[in-house]
Amino acid sequence: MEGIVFDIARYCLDDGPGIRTTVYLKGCPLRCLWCHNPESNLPMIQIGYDVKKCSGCRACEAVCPEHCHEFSDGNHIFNREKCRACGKCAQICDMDALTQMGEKMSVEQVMKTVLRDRSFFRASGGGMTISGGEAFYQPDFTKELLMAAKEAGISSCVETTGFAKTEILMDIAPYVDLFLYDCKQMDAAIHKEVTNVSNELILHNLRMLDHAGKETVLRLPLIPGINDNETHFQRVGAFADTLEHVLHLEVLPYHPLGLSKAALLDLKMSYCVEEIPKPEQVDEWVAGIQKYTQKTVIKSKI
Amino acid sequence: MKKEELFLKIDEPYAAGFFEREDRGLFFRFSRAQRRYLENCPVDEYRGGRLYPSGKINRGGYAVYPECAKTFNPDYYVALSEKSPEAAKIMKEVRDKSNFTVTPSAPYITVSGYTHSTPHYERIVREGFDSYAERIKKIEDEDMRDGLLDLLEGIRSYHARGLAWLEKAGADPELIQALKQVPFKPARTVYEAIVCWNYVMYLEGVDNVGMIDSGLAPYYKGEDISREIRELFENVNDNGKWNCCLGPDYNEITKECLRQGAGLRRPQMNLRVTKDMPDEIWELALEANYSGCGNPSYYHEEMIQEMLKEGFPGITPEDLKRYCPVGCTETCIAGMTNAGGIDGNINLAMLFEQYMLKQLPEAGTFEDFYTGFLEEVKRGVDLFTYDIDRNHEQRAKYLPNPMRSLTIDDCIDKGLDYNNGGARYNAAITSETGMINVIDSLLAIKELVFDRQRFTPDELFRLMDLGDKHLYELLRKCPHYGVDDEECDRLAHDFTVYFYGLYKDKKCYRGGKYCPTSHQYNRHPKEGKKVGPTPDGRLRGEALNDSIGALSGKATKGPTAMMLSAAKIDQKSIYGMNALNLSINKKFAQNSLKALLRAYMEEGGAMVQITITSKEDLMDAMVHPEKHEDLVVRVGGYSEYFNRLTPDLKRVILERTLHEE
Repeated sequence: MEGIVFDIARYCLDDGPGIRTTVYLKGCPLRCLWCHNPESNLPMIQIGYDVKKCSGCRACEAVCPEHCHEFSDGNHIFNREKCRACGKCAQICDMDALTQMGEKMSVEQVMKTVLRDRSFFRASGGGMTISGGEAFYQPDFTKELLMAAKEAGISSCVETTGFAKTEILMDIAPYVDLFLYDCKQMDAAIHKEVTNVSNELILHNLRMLDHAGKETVLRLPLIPGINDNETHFQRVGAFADTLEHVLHLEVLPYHPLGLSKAALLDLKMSYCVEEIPKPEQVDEWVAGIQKYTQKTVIKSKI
Repeated sequence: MKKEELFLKIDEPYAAGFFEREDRGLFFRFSRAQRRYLENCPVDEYRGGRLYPSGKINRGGYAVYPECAKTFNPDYYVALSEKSPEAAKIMKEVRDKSNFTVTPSAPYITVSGYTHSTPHYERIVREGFDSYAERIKKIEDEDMRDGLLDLLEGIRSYHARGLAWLEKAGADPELIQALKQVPFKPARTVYEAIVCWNYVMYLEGVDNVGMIDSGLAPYYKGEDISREIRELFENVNDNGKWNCCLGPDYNEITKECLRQGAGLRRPQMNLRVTKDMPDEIWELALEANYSGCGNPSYYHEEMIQEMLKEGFPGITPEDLKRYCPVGCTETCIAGMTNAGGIDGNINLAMLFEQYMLKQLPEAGTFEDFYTGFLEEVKRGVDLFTYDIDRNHEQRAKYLPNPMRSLTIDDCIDKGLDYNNGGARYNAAITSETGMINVIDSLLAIKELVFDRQRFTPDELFRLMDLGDKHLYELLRKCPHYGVDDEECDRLAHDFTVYFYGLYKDKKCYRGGKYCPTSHQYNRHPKEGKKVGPTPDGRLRGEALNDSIGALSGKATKGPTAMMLSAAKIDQKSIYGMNALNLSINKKFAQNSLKALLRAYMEEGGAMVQITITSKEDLMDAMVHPEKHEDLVVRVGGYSEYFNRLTPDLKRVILERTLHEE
């Protein structure tokens, strides 16, 4: 079984307990205005192009079977619409101006990397986390990875938007030790406006998981001007209190790293704020949400 | 004018004493020198504390004085020349005679002939110097016998003068009473034990504290000794000196040492970590790390025990317990070792550069190139050990060390000087510089010259010389060590098995084996200045690597991957001890450091030293040093205030990989 993976990051401290290796899968049904990983949106392999790094050597032009790369008046034009993402240009590019985003990998290949850090998992209570994109966008692959982890005695977390068919979620849930569940906006209409999908299925799935006794951390991306308001704090706090197996709430402040990644794919992000929220602001958000819930609200460790 | 008169005239009692009895052998003459020094040197002021002496050693303005490793201080020449050029010339003759390898056999070799060690504190505390006199009288060699008795007289004189001063100054009565007992008679209480310990440390010249927690344990009955431990540590810090070893029999004194050492640059605390080290010790140790002082470092006890059996064949189970890093991190069996930390250094990067420039154009395959390089390394190690052995021989003949012969076992019982095989355990600890640079250079050459045939050797050399930006971008991206890559790490493993294997059958002149290390002290920038551009992505003259970690900026898969690479190096053959630098942001450390250390040891890592800081702190310290007077970093195996580093070292520390988001 193969899946499309766009990164495997070792030594992650914020994707569940302990030291973890996070496997990022391509494909996501949401289109959040502030997306931190825009390279994950589409499920297929893509080529990123950073014009600032190009040295003009034209090696890509020579190897591209689809003739996507044109050089004219010293400018390198990448005709993305013709690209089939074979990856040859990215392989030949010395300057990393062209990079392949996504790779077909088998479960065995992924687990080979994940298992490298098992001593560190054991020492820290860590393990594997599947993220994306959306972990359930490639459900069969996600399930196989989780089963392989269980067989290897590695704990597993899944970071998810929760936007997936309920039966798929519940089929895979037994292999998940901890869900890291995004809660971006409690109002259904606003949720649709800022993520392109309604939150009804998301909230329904969360209730189902809670009913099934699955431990969950509610992750709250906080985006200035979008959901950093009392209404959202009050509603998400109240909602959290209805869920027995939510361990705590974790505030994830916005960061602008998605903007540069979007540029590599010629994507224009609607939310283009470049400032990172100050630590004092994050503390205010944490306190603001804490007022409305009995559960503990924390900010990310790092 | 007689030489003795000349030195007396310019108020140099040590040198005058050396020339007092030119009819006697060198051991006696150096002992007499030290006696005269002790009879005349200034008495330390009493500063109101619980220990005496304290603070920085007062050399009384003398140009020549005793020095723990080199018998007398190697930096005598300029100060003595100012007093008398003739006197300086006379002392230079004495020094040069003991110091073979003024010109080493190859430009990549440096012979330093330095030896860190520790006195046998526990024995002196337990038995007192009076009992030592009885053992000394049984030595057959009359120069050594008379010399050591002479030295003891010097110590008595120094002690009596100091005691008189304390009484005059109205010092702590308990301190005075303790010094009436120690160091000549056995200590009876923990306070007397620690007073004696500090006293002996100063007598030797302040090198290392040794195994203080286990050493004081027999006397300890639960007293509050926090103040004494703190003073002892501050005394080490004031003198800029070295190590204190803690564990593995953890006790209340271990905890007190961790508490008192937190925040201090020195002593470097070396914590021997067992599988079942108690949580409380872990917590105290990690809190000390978070204070930013670079302490403690962590040593894998079980692995080191196995290494010691190979590095010191025949070592007894009792002595195995006395593992005690000294200096930066060199191996020592406390109180009974002359292991020569550091006897000399081989600049592997320079050796590689010379070989590469000559042979790469001739090599048909990477295997040919690599095989030829291994032969060159063997030749280099043979020359290196030859130079060190000759240095040992000269020191054995011309540079006895009376103070260490007195304080380190088994010199008295064997009747042999410390530099002539008197210690129970002898070895030659040597270092290398540039090993990781060499490994990455080999990998880059394999990739770019042979596998991809991207450049001819001449093209590579030309572009490296120019510092070509495109080339250097490629070089940094080549397969390299430090990212847990199987093929790269296999080369690292194979090379280190080979390199350290070259030393295994060698015996050093003074007895014992060669015990190579892989730590840098502060050598890596100055050795790097001697080396041109190298294919690991290093420009001409840039610093070489400072530990067995990845090259600066190349640990791109994070600390777990870097540590797994380091664990594949043949560490168990690095008997002198290696150093792995882990630079880590405080928040990351608070969330993962213990797990990183435990897992690394499980994977076969021997030792980790920690720097906790941020790039912002370091950058600000470059611009506003006055705001960062207490910023301590780990350099190549030791702790130092950032502000005191040379500009080169500061740059190296700044560029070193920080595992930050």
